[in-house]
Amino acid sequence: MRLEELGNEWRAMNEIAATKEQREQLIVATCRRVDRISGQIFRRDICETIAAVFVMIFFGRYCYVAPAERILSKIGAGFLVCWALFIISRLHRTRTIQKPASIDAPVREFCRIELDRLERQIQLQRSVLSWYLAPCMVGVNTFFIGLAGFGIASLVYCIVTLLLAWGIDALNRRAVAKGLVPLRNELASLLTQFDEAVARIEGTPGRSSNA
Amino acid sequence: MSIPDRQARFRELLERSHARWAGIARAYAEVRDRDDLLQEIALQVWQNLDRFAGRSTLDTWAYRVALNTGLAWRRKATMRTKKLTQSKANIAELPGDGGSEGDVQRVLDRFLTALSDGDRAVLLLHLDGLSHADAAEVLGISEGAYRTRLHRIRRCFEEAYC
Repeated sequence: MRLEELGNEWRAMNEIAATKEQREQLIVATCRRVDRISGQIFRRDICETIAAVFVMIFFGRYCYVAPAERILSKIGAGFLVCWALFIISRLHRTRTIQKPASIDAPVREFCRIELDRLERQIQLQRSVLSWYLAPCMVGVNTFFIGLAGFGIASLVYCIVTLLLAWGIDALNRRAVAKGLVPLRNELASLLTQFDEAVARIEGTPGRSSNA
Repeated sequence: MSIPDRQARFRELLERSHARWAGIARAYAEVRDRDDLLQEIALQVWQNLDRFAGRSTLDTWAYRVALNTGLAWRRKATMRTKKLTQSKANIAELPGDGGSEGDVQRVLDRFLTALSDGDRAVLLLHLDGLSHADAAEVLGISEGAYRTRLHRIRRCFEEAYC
């Protein structure tokens, strides 16, 4: 059995699998999925925006109406409004600047862009403590201390929120280690396979001219 | 591009490429997931039809989209199931003298499963009858690099089955 002889067999096998009825079903299913995906993206964006607007309205209003002597909690509330704005802008930037690789790029290029994007995603998630959790903790704790004053209640609140932040960060790091890092390794290995093929040709004198 | 135009173009493309996409789904997904991958390929082609710039033929472009979708699917599936690619050693365990049609299909499926994702893409392009130039363009490597890779796969196949 030779590899050259298998092409016809392979194509025949797939022709049988690709019937006219299946083609029609595929068209219907594709149209349906296009509608569904557009709806999902719209809902996700709406949910994130509503959450941010809620934080901004709630704490923004507090900043505006709270009595002047509540200066510390006003600072905390203002901080949280800024934090919500920052998170929205950062997520928006991540989605618009770090776009996924174009699916119609050559496979090697597609892998390289995906790998870069994944590296950035890993960095972003690993540093979630510094850009997401820490500013939020500063804001909520300043706000609470401003309301309750320095005392045992504030201390307990601070400890609870710090533990919560630590837990979220730990879960996040675990998700990176279990999900994104193996994915990155898989992608890097695939890219290496293509790069090796190119390097082998380029490193062999006389053969590249035949190509 | 208006929706009816896009649908007409997609329908024509599907007519010509359905078998190839089914082959990619066969190579990169478990039996139970093949229809899902085929649907995902169709969806990606549909969504990206506007991006086709005419630098290659529409069929080659669609092959690129399908292959990228298959590879991305495979990576996600690997993460889900934690089942990594079978080792090359498995090739030696496969029957080497397939004479009947069923045997040929089985050998092909097993050989594909035993290959790495990159080699699988190279072999698929070869089996689907793309020219060396088109195959190299789909992969984004030179024709020479494609030939070298294909030669290695051929040798590997012959060692196991001939």
